[in-house]
Amino acid sequence: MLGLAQREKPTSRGAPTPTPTPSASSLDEVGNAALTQEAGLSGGSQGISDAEASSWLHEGDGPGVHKAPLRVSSLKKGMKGALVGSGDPITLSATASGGQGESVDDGSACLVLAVSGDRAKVRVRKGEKNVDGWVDRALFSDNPGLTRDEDDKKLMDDYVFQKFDGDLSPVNPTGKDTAQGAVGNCFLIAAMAAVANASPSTIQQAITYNKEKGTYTVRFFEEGRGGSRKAVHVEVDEYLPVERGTADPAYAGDPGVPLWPAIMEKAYAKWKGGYDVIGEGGDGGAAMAELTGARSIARNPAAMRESEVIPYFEKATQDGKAIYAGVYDGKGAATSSPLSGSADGPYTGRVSHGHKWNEIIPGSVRITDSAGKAPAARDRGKEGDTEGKLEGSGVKSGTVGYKESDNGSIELAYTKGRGPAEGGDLQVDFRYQGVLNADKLLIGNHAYAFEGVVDGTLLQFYNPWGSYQPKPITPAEFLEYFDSLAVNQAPKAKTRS
Amino acid sequence: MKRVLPGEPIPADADEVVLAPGVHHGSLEIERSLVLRGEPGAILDGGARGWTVLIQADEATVRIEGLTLRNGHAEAGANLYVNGWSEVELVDCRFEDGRAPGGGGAGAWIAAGRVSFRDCSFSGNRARWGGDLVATGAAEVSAEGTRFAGDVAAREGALLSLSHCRVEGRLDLRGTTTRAPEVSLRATEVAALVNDRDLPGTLTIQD
Repeated sequence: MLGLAQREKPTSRGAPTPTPTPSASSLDEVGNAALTQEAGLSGGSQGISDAEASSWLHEGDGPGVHKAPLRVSSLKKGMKGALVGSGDPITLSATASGGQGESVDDGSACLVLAVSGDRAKVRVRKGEKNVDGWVDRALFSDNPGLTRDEDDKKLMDDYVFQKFDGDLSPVNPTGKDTAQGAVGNCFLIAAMAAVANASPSTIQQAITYNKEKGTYTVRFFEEGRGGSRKAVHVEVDEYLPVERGTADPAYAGDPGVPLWPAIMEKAYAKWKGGYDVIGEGGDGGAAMAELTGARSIARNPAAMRESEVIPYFEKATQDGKAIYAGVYDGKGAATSSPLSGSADGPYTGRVSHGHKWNEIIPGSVRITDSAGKAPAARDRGKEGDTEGKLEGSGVKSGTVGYKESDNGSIELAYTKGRGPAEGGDLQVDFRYQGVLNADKLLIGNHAYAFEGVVDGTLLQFYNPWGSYQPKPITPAEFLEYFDSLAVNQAPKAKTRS
Repeated sequence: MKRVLPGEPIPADADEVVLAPGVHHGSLEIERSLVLRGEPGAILDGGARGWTVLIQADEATVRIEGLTLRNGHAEAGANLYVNGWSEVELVDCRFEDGRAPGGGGAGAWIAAGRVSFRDCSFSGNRARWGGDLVATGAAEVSAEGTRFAGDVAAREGALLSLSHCRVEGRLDLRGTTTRAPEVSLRATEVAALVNDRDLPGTLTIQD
């Protein structure tokens, strides 16, 4: 589920802690243990020992290991990460050998353009542009690439990495700990919430804080051929992207809630190729399987009877299954007749769609004449267009506005003699996206974690944004608004002896 | 063998089902071995509500032949979603007008199993990425003589083999830091090929 990035993100969190200056020795000692893969479960049905996850954790640790940003031993062109130094601004030099260049903030995200000896040429966002320059390669820290700026895809979003000191590992995790940020990965955050609700120990054992190194090791699972599963361990440091000028995580995490989801999200992003990659959307059932090591089982809501819904959720909850569900991307609006004009037009007007966030789905508008005189018109817009063209035989010209300022504005003219008898005969049908049910606060193209059955008759879901929580819904509403459903039963964890 | 007319339910217990010409509305969850044949003109229409065909069984053998799967709507794999370790064979099938706005694979999402497409066609499927076909996880996917009007994606550690196919959209490969997809192309035209720079797949091209 692609979902939406959280729209109104709270700000402010405690001041970030200062960062240590990297040294050659710390780099050598930390090395490149960023990511390892181990053989683990087979078949996904065996118990998971957290000992297997911790067995390698302190490999390479020893006297002299410092808490430092995670570095890489091999730096290559194309790598993404961050420049992390002492906390002071970092100067980029014009050439590998020196020369005055731009100064950028410590913690700036970067892309490696070239490597020469102990110097690296990097690209960093500064203000509304990218700047290139050379730095000591030891400043590069191993972090996932950021999301892209929606207004200018050449730029990464304007976030910087800041250190969040202390152990952020989960303690009694629940789904309510999750709070999606400015990346469209509700499929992942909802999966985390669903698993945390059903099996807190799975989440707890998946994240290990390596206190001496100041890093976290996060355990995921990947399925091999035939269904065997392997544990994958991803190591990340304590640095999280924040809104520039704040200490509020840009992605998962909000003030006042635990930050283990931010650590888990960062590790997942590193594993999959970046925050931008996991922002492309995905399959929530697959994400739950990656968290628990057990296969998710999908169920088609469209194939369920209304009477089956409550018993299904009650049984899955009793069985200790994590439950994830996704909402349709859009919904058909009630037919309306907002157009006025005369003869062959132009007819003008605007359709409304119920909530300030709602927008017409491009290509979905259809205008027909209830009296059967005027021919039908249909818009030919596509996702990303700012305006859709209305077409049809007998249609002279027509447009539908998709921009926020004119969303739903319609203008339509017919060829001579083809217009309706009166504007009120023109009926407009369209589909909209955004808040599909404003009373129950159900967001379209969004994923939710199931929380529980209320009073034996209603379903309560959790919005992974951490806000805009939906009200309990009826089985009929579930079938009307949800197109995807998956459950996952985490294997029982073995206790550490 | 059961022959099903439009409007009749598709039996869950039959080993072989033949769909008569016409539009069969609804979705199908396949939980055991099955042969599903469409007579010319047979269409299984998901009605833009959930997956059109969902296969999660392990160790089953499924063959779907001569059928149009259309109008599925789900976060991934709208017309066909395979997530079980079974052998699935699709012959002379059409995958049309699926929608997976939250993810990929509106035509087909193959996350597990060994799945083959022969003489099939994909069109009108829309998704965030990999609109026609996504091969992901550790799935083994092959296609022969198949036309993809849109995009195809190979992700994670999937194996994807295309022989005498035509990809009119984009074929993109991207792995993770722990594994990479393996794609082989034989006598196959691809309009645009994108192999991820950071986490590329392994690509083999034969004439």
